[in-house]
Amino acid sequence: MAAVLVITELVAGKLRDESFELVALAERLAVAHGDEVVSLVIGAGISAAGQTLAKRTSGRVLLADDSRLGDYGLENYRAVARAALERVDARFVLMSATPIGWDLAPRLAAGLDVAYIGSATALECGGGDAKAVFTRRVFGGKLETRVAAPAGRAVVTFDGGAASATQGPAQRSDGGVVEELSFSLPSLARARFVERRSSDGAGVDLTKADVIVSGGRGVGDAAKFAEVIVPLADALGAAVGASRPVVDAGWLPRAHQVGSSGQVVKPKLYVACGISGAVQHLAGMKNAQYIVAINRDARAPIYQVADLGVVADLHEILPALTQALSKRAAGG
Amino acid sequence: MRILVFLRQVPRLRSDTPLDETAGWIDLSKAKFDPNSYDLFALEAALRLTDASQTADGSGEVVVVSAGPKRVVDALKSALEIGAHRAIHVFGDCYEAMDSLALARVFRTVCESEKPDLVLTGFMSDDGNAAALGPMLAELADFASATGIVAIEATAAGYRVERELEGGAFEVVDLDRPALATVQSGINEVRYPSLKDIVAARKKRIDTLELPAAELPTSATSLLSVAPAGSDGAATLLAGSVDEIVSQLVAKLDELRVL
Repeated sequence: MAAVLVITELVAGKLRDESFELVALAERLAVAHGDEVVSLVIGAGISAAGQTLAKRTSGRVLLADDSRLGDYGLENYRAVARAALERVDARFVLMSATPIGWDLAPRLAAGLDVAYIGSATALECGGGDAKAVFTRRVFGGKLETRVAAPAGRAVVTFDGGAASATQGPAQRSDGGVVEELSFSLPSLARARFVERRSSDGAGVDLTKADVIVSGGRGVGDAAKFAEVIVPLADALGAAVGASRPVVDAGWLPRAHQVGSSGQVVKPKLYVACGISGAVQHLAGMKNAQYIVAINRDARAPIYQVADLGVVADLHEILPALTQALSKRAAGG
Repeated sequence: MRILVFLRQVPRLRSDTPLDETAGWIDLSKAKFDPNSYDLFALEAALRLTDASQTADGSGEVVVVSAGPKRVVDALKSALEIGAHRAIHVFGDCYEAMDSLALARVFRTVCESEKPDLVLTGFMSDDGNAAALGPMLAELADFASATGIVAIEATAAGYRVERELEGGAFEVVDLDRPALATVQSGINEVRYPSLKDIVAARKKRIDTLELPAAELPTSATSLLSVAPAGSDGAATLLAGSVDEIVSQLVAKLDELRVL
């Protein structure tokens, strides 16, 4: 029996939410193809995570538990994935579009000589020639393509949210079976993990802010950022955020970056000014309770997640808004 | 130290760019093209590494490689002006529609003949956003690799890189030579060529490589359709004069109790 192999991911010993989404997606693929779902958990001291997963999937759970697997290393994780691929005939291999997925999944696809579909946002399983069609966003999220793997085999990474939480597998009584995976790790790695470090000491914690005013490339330059974004943030008592191009260009320190590689925020209000809304930025702010977007381009992806939009020149709107708020604060 | 930099030429997407339904992509016939922004950061990182090594033993060489029709020569010329020492144009019309795996196969042949110490390329392309070419090439060429790096330095055995993870975390990884790394945006500030650089670039070599049709790999993926990205829940758009918009915004902020 062919299989859909899910390579799960742990953060601080717990399975990521995205891994449960992958299991839900795998079950849809498996039903469409008559395959079984096999999940792989890789790490050190992970039997509890394996048990948790077994309760939420009807399929098998392979456990690769080894003290050398606590930190991600490309060659070690690849060796484990290959051992799993020898044990099961995987039609699809699913991973999450995370730093580990980006690093490992394309290499697995190239090694298997199968299609790679990166950062898919949706899955369609139906009849017809292609039993599985994947949606992915291109051109920084402005366009969406539907992609298939005609040979019927692929390694796929999914963005978080590709399966909604309600579709996720529930606690079930016919839980899966946990099996130990045997594997051997390379004695000499050519890519060696040295250390992990964090830039948290930079002192900008956007995750606790109720209101965030964020600026993007559309603001223009560093001087204009200071002129229109910062005063509005002050008037709202808000924290100042930025998109990646702004910190890349050095207008603001990297500690202000909102996005999957920066800070992931959930404020009451997020005001996005001159931000087009690249996928990685949206991943960092789409769960804000209320999102206001101000951008001249009506097709900007930020409007996909915004509640309220102003398609206008932010250089006209923001100073007027700041002034109105200041007047109000002054009781006028 | 020889560094190969794979540079993609990407089409500019404008609000009026037509879509090509049959190809499942944008209509490239009238598009304007730019060098992929991530690849320029990779080029700059390569130049900084060889600048340093040239002072030591004078052996640094940056070779920039691009596949595509005649127009990609423009991208290669820009790279030579910025400071690459030599260029290879893998010539053909078939490359612009190839997926990452097929392109990785093409570039593996270039790696086999050039035998680089290091391959650098952008973390992803501005058009396809696949982020797959680099690691796939590393797998096929059997290179150590790391994706999404924000720092790189040469070491005795190879390179020490810093990978960007999530939430402001980074991971330091040592790679043995030969190595491949994909470069994140913002790792450096890409230099502008001076007039002298532009003139000097005219004397630099651009070799053309044409692969026999029988050796051309085929894509393992197929594009079925393309469309503007859909909305999760369409935003309410405010209209009116600046004053009208501002008063609507203030009313909304009131309602949200954030004032």
